[in-house]
Amino acid sequence: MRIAQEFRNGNVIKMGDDAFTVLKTQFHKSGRSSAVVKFKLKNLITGNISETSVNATDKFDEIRLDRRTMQFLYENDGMYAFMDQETFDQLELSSEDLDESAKFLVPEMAIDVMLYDEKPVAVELPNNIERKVEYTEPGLRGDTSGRVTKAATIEGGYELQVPLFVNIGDVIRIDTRECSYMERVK
Amino acid sequence: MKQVVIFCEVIDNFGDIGVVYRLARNLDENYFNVIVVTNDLVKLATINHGASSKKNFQIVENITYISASVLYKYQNMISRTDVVIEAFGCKISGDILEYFQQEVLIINIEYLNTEKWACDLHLNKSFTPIGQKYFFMPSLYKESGGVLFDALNVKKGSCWKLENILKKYGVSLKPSQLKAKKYGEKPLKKILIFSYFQEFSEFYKTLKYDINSEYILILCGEKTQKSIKDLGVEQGNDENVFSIFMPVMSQLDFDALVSQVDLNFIRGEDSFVRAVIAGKPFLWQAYKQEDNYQIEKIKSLLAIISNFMDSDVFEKYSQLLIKFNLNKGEGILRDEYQWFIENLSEIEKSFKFFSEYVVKNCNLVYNLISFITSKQI
Repeated sequence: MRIAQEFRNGNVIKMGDDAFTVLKTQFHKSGRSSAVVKFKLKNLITGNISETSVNATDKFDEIRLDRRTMQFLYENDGMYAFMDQETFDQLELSSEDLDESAKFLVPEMAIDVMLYDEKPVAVELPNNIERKVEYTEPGLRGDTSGRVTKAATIEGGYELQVPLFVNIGDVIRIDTRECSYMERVK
Repeated sequence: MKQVVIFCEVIDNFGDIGVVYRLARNLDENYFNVIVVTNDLVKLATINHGASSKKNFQIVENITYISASVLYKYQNMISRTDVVIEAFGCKISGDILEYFQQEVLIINIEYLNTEKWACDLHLNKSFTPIGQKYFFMPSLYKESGGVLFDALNVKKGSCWKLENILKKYGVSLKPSQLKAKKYGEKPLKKILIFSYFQEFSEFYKTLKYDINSEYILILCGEKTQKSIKDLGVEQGNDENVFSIFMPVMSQLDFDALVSQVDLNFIRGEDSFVRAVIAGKPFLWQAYKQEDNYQIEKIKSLLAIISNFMDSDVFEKYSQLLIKFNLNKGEGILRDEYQWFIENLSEIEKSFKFFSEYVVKNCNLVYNLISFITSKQI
């Protein structure tokens, strides 16, 4: 059991008979030494998203999901197909299940798929990944402070802000939690 | 008639049970059958003079009080409950939840919070293994749960007169005890202090050596009295100040006193609300929290008050209130207290507007009953 204030985004919390992925947490100090936590949760079975407030010291079970490394195959009409690299079984996840993670999927990449009761519920990206810049406008000469940014499109089509010195063909490291540029790799 | 059971675990002092006693009375007045389950009958009996600390089960003024230690004996009585109120996150064990035979509406009434996020959490759904559970956030915003006015606050007969309340507790204000009466020259200001441990030496000197006014200082609560006694002050006259060390009063008498003085130094939450509703100037001492987090609450309160105060007055008042809540008020200068005391009647206008706003927009009992009704239990 863990107390509510210890749960973080991405954890899976059990409330009653249901399991939820924690999408967002807000911690508020209340009166005296008490506190309140507001969760944005996604029901792992129904997919319903809800908000729930609990006292910060309320205790809940954390569910450890099964993890299986799979290969991302393709996306078709909002459904993302993955293949188990040992059994060659295929399964699908929706764009809602993947949320922000969908931005960083490229065909043939290996990724951990999380399963609850044998049902795929989410994928887990590493905290940072490397992607090649497919398109960006050239930066202006002389402005290399890094504080000014421009849009860049990476493999897979996701667009994010990068410093002006980043060019087409560069490989950049991205923080998948913030969906943001970290550094140029080469 | 709907039945409400209020669970209250007293941690310290009288604040928690004070709010519950007030809430229970207000719900009873609105035709609810009210049962209060508490772990501290001694505290209850101290503020509610009709109650006994010895009786594990008692009905006082229509409200049933049960000691938490013997609740198991009264399972049948609470099994038909419609609404359960967890006062301030009071935990109800799974065993007790099983007493309820029908689907109950559980409402966790939190501590009063002056921060805006209280509105965001207000009526937020929470988790419970049975029934439905919601957070109810008391605060001073229209969009929040509001605050408890207590209808008794507006019944101001002769029993609400300062002299009569003091007399009830053995304090007689004879004219000879008051210099103002004796000389008949200086105005007399009445100040109530109910605080946590605080540094009052500069404040006391401000009153003692004030050449413009004289003061009655009503000192309530052990911590206040210790803070003042440590300055060498005793009951009675000292230059311009007549100090009164009050014994513990009933809640109603305390409410009356707060409304009858010219200035309140007030602590906690329930007493703070009494001061707000009284429409008199106050300095609120918020419950001290880790990393001085109470200052966030003070700043939030100030943001509300700023709507009712001229900017120059507000600037000085806000500095004073923030200092009052840091380091036991040690940084406050006599000049700052002097400014506050000298401008009380001007400042009072702002607090009257503030009080009117709260009474108009923040009625907790109305909001609570509306919510219960909307759930159609």
